[in-house]
Amino acid sequence: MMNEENFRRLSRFAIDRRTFIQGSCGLTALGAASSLHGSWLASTASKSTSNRILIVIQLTGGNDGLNTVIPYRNELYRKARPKLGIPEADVLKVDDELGFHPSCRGLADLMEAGQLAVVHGVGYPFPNRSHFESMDIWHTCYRKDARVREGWLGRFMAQHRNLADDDAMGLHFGREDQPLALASKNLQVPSIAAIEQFRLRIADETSISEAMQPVQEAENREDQNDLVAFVQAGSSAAWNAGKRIQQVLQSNQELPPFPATQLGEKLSVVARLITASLNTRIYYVTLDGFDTHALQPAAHASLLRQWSEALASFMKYLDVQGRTDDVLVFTFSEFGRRVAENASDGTDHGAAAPVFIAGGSARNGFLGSHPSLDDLDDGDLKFQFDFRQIYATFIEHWFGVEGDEILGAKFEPSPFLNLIPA
Amino acid sequence: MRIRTSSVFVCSGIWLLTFVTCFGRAMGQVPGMDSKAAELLPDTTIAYVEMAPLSQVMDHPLVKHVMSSKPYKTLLRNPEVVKARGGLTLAEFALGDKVTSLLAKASERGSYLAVDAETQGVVMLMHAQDEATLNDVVTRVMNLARQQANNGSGPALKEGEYRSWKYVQSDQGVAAVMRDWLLLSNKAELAKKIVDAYLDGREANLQGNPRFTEANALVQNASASRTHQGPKHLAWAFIDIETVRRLGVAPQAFTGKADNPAAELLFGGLLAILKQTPFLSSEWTMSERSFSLSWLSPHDPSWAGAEREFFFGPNGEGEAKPLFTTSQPILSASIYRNISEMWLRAGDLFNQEVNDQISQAESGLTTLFSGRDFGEDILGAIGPELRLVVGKQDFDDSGPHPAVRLPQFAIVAQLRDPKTMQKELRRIFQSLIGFLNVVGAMNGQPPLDLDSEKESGVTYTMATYAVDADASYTDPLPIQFNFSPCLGFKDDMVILSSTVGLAKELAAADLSALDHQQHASAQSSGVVADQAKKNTILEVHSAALKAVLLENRQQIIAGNMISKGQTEEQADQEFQSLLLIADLLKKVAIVLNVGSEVALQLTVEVQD
Amino acid sequence: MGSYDNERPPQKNLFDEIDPQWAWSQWSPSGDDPWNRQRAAHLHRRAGFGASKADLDNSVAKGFEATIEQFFAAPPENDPLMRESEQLARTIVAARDPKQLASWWLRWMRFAPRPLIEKMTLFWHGHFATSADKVPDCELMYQQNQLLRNHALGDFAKLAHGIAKDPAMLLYLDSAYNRKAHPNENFARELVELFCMGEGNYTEKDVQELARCFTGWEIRRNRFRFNPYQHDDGLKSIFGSNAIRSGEEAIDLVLQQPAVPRFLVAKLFKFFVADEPAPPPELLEPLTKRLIDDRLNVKGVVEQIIMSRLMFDPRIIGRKIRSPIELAIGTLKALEATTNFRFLADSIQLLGQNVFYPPSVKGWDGGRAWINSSTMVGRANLVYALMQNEATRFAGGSLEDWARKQGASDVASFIDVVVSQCMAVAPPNAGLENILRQAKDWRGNAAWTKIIGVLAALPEMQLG
Repeated sequence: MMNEENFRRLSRFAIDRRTFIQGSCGLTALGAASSLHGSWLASTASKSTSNRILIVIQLTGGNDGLNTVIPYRNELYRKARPKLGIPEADVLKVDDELGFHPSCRGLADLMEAGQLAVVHGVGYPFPNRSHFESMDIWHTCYRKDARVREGWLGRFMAQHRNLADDDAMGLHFGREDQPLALASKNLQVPSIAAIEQFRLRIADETSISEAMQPVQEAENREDQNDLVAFVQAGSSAAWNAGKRIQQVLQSNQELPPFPATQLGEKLSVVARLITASLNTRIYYVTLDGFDTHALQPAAHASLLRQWSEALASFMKYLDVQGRTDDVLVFTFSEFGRRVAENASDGTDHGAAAPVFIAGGSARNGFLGSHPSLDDLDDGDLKFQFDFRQIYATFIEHWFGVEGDEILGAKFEPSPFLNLIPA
Repeated sequence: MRIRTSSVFVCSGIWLLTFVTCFGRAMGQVPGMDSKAAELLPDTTIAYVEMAPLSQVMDHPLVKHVMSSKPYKTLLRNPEVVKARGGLTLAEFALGDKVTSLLAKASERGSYLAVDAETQGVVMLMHAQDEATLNDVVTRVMNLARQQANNGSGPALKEGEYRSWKYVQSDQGVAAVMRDWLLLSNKAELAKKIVDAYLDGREANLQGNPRFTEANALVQNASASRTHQGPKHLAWAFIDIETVRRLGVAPQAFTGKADNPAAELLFGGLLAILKQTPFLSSEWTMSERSFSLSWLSPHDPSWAGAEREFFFGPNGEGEAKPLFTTSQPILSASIYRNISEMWLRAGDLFNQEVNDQISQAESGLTTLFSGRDFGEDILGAIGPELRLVVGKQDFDDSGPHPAVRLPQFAIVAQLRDPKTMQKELRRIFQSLIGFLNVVGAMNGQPPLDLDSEKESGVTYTMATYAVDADASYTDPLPIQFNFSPCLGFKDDMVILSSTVGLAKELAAADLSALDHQQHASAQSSGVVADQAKKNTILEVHSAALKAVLLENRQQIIAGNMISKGQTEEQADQEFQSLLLIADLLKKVAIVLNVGSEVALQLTVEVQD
Repeated sequence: MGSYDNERPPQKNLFDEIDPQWAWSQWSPSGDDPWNRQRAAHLHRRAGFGASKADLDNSVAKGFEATIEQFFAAPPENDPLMRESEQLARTIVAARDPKQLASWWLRWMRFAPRPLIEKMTLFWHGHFATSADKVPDCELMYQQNQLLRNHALGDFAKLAHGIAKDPAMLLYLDSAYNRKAHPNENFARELVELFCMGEGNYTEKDVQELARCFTGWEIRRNRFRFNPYQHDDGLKSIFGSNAIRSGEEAIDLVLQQPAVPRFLVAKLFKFFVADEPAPPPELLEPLTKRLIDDRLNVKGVVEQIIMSRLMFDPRIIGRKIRSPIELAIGTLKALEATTNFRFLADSIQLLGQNVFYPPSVKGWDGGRAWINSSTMVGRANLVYALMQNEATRFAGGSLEDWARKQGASDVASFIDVVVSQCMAVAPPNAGLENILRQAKDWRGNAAWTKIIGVLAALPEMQLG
């Protein structure tokens, strides 16, 4: 615990120094800065963190954290999970105490490759066990009675929308309703159902592409007012993005394939957009089905397999592209599940659970200690990291901007990233 | 309304004629003169259709009946049809005869269609009564075709000679005349092969394919077994599945694990047959008021394998129960299908992705069914004989009724262990309704009231939506008011119905009378031998369907105004032509018989 | 890349140099500045959703003032088109699918004989934004839509009072159960912040006191009901007045604040004249005064804006980014086309404008917020997809038929037709020639479809 504390302080200091240096460079470079609190951080930090991207994978329904990261030697685990417990022989062991669910080969590989941070026991005080309310808490950082209809990412993106240049600041993938996490009064996030939404069909289907290039360029237009210049820029950004995506799609033959699953397909689109140098900073995908009250083993195994295979393929793809250092993939669920299994081979809604951060900058290994199985909170695991600490790390350390206002209070970032400047 | 299809049909008729021709002038006897078509066709033929002379079809009482019916005449007044017919009339003026009559003359001794695997070509052979008749037809058509080629309104023609037989070619294909035979093909190579066979005779021809002979015999037997005044077939067809399989033309149908559980449930057994059978044969028959198309295949119960026993039952002997007859039927189906077995065998049948989905679904469904294992306990409780009934439901027009009026439907199954399962299922039904009410309340939906009833040995558990007495805003009612879910038990039978009324109607049915009816109809149809079992029976009736369409007229028209951007008038016109189909057709039936052969029969009955 | 404000030197504000008296006096056509098809097209784009060539010729023939009159005329009584559409709406409401209702409205925007009323209804829908996501009741959404339509060009005070008791609005703002002990501040806050005054014109205390006025305002059985037992009947102190008790009095008090006409006029300016730059207050002063004189009846002010010299100034033409709806409906109208409106409603959602489903209570930001790289591609793809949709008919026939009727015999003349019909500003000639060189051999219906697809990808297509 002492080490943990030290590390936290150290990394905090490192980040502060780093942003300070960037800040002063930025100030001299620009010669002027807005007096608004926080915005100088944003406009200057954008230079050094300009390629940084956060992908959020939401496991909807409440993932059984205890059967994802397994304390396989723990007697209490065996006692609480007589039927659902994963046999020691099957666990993908990481160390003498902990290992992954056998479906999570991809996670084990990522950790082997030094690209995975697992933060133990993430939650919040007075856990809410309703799917909707707990998910809203994770999304907004507020409880229901606060009636906040903006999400943490929505607030972040609206404040720093210039980080994405002409591209959308955030993108949501899937046909379900947009997660509240992305909501903002001041910024609308597009939902993407298919990569086709980025392909200019007329250019794909005709030979017109080359001929149109000059029409998209600015110099052909006299009489430029601001608005025309803006639409022009947006239009040629779209044009170029479309072409890059097209190139990426056409050249993907030798690249690692993605599993033909729902999540695999979503992440393959994200990977291609990133490869095509889209400036979008936040990508949000969900995988539903984790509410395993009954017959959990087969269902949970297949969901974990889908998640970890997709995640591993995604990281492999970015590895080949040399982009792993620009990307963090954050996986969370609205809550974990009860420690004790129920009578229908399932588990019921619980509280704290691990979160997962994959990426070249992730501090490989486990952060914190596995929650104690003999010190429970009404049958649930206790949290040791507030989820807003995780968010704070993303906002302040990864994107290098001020997080207090976005998160509603000051939260100490948790040190799951290796971002100490040389 | 598929006006478009019919105009395409008419147009292709013109194409067929304009595209034709040449005149054979060779003298003397040739080996092919008295050949059957199957002797002219190469042994690499994988599909073959033999059609009766067109005049036989045109003069058939059914065709005459349809062409004189009111809906057909109304259809002829449709602007698009009128436009197409206008073009046809012009062409017929130039030809000096009706297109149908020219076609009839050219095919007086039958016509034949074949697909050749080697050349990947399609050929059509028409056999005229004599050389002179065919010549007359061909001359007329060629005159028009040349004229059209010259003024650019038709394809350019190239005329030439092959082994002193004239032919004509366009970018769409080639045509040639061999005395009384007219030959059309999209591949010149194939046409040459046939001309060669006609002139020189052919060793390896379709007639020599043992599967072809067997298929022919199968069709002849079926025809013969239609005892008293059974209709003679107007066309029959043969598909050489063994060769198709060998050539790998459609590999995905023949290999690998399935990725679509719904398709597997409905067609898995049939696909298993396609993977094994040497051939398929088919015949088309017409009676006074119906036409039917049957597909026949030899069958061996072992073909399905253990993993598909769910489809045909042990030894292929699973048999569907007789159909229910209800007062306003739209669709009635009965099927032998062991869903529980399919669910439990999913590992053998499906690929990894589907199995992943199934285990996730199973977890969710088991939660929904309060901890009862969905595959084993719920599906396992019911037998493989399933029946589905869909019918029009009547609404009390004096009271509030739903804006969209849906048909009512019910599933009927047999319980393996009625005593224990009745109680279980009732409990599950009640907790499901409770669950629906919780979810519904969250979305501001009205609640379902639970009730139960016992009536002449049948017990019902039902849930109904109560219409708010003082609620004026509930006029018209939401779509939920189409439903009053009901679970009924009668002996070992379980009825799950969308409405109480339908459940009671089904419970009141006289089951032994239904059994009797089924046996009687099996004997009269005689498509296959008597020991065959009906695996699937399905009937669709147009009368009640039309009534439902009419009840929802306003909603359907509104849908068209939105989704086709039509005016009310246009949308109404389209709705009227939709009704014409119901005015023309009375009933469509599909029966799958399984015995030493498998026979899938589609019958369409037209209105009187 | 031109998107950040903080990287470019401050732009000279176009509107700083404009004399307010000149700007808002009535434009009158002259020999140098005639009433022609181009001016008529501008008017139809701004006061409506665009027009076909025949409509434009008709407007030019009729003259400027008569055309304006037609825009502001009351809807014709017993208009068969309108009866048909209302019947259609009722049928859809009965089936209770709000998505279908959205399709209905898009259809009506395409065909309504009084497009300005629909345009203003759309304006108010963004102003009093309510989403069927949260209020999935078709009947209530339609009811609100009719409320907005009835007051679209009328008395703002009546509209504000109506919206304060509108079931869909109160459900949307969680005010359906507003109790004395726990006043819900949502409606009170939006009333001053988003509906009437704008930020900075009220205090937190004002909001709290306002919220007390609306306690006891409830929605029961989908209807507004005043529950006296839950109403806080004490005196409230708002904007320095101490004599307010009821919600109605509170709304009247809010409407008397000088910020209200200023706030509305600024929004109308942005909606009708230009997305940016923001005009100096002096420029809006005459309009604000007019709105006060008209006792918040917006018709006069809207008319003054639409007929003004500034509106017809060449610098204003094309100085708005078309909303996805303006783009889609405008293109359909220009091509005299009808289409699958359900498809349109579903597709337009991806571009960020889903009627009956605004993204938040703030409505649509408009202007630059419409454009990013994914929506730009989406816009071009949408227009192209509309052209290809099998339900799309052009004046009842194919696009080829339509092109023939417009006298377009080849690709070059068809490009001319589309540019003049569908765009406020012509793309650079050199560019069009480039396209023409590539496309000169295209033939038939598919060619016309593709030409429109190509032109829709140009920046000029996005301007209105």
